[in-house]
Amino acid sequence: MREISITHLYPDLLNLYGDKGNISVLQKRLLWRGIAVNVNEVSEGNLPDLDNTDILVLGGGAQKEQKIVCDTLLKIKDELTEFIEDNKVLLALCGGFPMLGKYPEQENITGLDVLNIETHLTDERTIGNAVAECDIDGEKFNIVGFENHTEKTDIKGFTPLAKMISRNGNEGIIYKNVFASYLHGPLLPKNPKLADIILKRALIKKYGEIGEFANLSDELETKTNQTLQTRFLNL
Amino acid sequence: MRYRLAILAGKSAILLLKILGRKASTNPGVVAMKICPFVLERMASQMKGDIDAVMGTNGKTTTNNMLADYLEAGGKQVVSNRIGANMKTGVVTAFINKTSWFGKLKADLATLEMDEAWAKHIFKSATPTKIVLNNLFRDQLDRYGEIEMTMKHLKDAISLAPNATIIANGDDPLIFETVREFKNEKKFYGIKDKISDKQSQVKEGKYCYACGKELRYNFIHFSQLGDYSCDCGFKRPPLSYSATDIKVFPAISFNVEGFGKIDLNGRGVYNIYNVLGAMAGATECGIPFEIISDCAKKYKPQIGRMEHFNINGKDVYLVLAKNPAGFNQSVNTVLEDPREKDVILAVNDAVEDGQDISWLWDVDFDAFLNDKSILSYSVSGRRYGDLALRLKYAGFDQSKVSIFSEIKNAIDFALSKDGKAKYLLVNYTVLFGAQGYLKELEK
Repeated sequence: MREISITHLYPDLLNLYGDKGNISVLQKRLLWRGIAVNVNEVSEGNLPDLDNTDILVLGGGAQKEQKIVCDTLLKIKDELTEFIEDNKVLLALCGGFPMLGKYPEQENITGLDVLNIETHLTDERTIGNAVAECDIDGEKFNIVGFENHTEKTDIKGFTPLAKMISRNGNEGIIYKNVFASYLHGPLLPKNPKLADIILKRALIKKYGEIGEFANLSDELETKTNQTLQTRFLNL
Repeated sequence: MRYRLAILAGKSAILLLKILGRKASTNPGVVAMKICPFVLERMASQMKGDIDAVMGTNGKTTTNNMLADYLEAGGKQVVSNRIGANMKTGVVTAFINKTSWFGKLKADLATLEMDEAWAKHIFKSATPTKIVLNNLFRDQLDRYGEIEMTMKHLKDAISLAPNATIIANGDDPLIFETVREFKNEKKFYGIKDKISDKQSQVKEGKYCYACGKELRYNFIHFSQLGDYSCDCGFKRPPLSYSATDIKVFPAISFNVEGFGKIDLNGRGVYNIYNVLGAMAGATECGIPFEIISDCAKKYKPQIGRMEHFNINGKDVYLVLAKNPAGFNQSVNTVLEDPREKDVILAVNDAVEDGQDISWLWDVDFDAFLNDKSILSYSVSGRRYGDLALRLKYAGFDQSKVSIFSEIKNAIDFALSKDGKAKYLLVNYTVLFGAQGYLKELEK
């Protein structure tokens, strides 16, 4: 039987944004397809077992907690770089996205610097509901979410994860199997297509092919996605 | 002269608003402060008795109103901002209400709910003699480090009132950390023993603020409230007002060691803390226990605070929750009821509610799964889709979950089901529509 291991980084520290919604969605959408799942929560002071991780999830939290997480993960910086370059799946949302790069102007937090991106502080808070267009693996679809950040990330040569529709600009990055975005918290429940792309990428990495991957009844997910798109875009 | 003018203008504004059928909450205070910036000092300095300040993130208005009830039942004339206008303008308005047209204060005591960030500004003009601190719950705001900021605001305020007695919830490590280094006289209240095993235990980051290690708990009542300790010596302080023999259903009752029994006409474990805070505050102001316990029996909840309706012989409860801590408490309150019941969850995302509803995934709705006496779930509010997904991915039986875009239809549906009790867990902007419809049905 196929099995995917999901590692949730520091839910005890990064617990303000409903990040566990993403874990639930990845887990259930595998189980409903008859694929076994193993979820490991890594708590403060411990380090993840990257060798036995297929999908690594890093969320966001308050500044103080994000610093603790960053300091801890810096101990395995080389392993994290290898994890990424080896095409393993990393989902980094909210504060987890900029943490992958550097914060040149910030004194108390350096960033993991596992991707060449730079995050700068701005005077302006970008806050609100968001709709963005994704074009990944030949599929075009719109994702909905919420963003709330004063930072702005220079993604240099990376490909954005999505093109914003609700405002100007791009959002996040997609690099190999890294999916990173400021759209925070429970992003996947109302964006099942993105969830499935993440799962398929993890299966390909582990088994060389997607294999059997049943279609799920996503009536509720799709309807919620569409209703919110209409509302957020004032259509 | 400016003071007299300010009072005149403030009183006139109150009168005018009354004629217009509106509540005077802040506007009279705004007007009076414009005319005389020292209007609050001038009124507060006439106060012979205590000035109580009530603070905390959840249950502030309830606690302050209970305290005002207890003081009034004790025969006192009380200045109080009962409607929850808790910034300086609201406090000024409350004082003007109890001041004569000639500027003479006609009150024995004051009990004032205060916004934590505003407290230090209010304390400078009206220095409290008693400070009631009920809780500090993490909520969405916390993502900006606001809990630390709120603790700092409170510490700044307390340092302006070195002679005040601090009356604080000892079960809350964040409150204890806030007050522990002050030299003020301190009286702590709390719930002595474990209440029940049914309470859902949401694991949150609960760290010792003194040394940073994870706190140990003998038991947790909810959120971070409980009997905690740490290797470094940080631990729940001895309780001066200690609740034992807790009953939570069909209504709250408990014993306060050394005082006597309290029967509250209300529910919800969080209300034990609200009553304890108010009771301790009133006791420290010299109100006899018999008057307090008598008053608690007659307690009438405000809109949406476990507000009860009887509709065709069915008990309907309307419960307002504004953050994960509040929602978790509401979930627990439903679980305390052993009867068969139907549950409605409704969440809006208007500006007043907070547009970000990510926290739905931090609420322990999963605890409902263990309760076989819940017959149906209905989801509603503008974010009904998110609620439905929340329940779907938590593994709820989909045949038990119904979706309604209109709250009225959700209420009609729940009432058509067999459960003896109905629970509506709603956030702010759903509340008024739901209450209006329930009142209509109750007639």
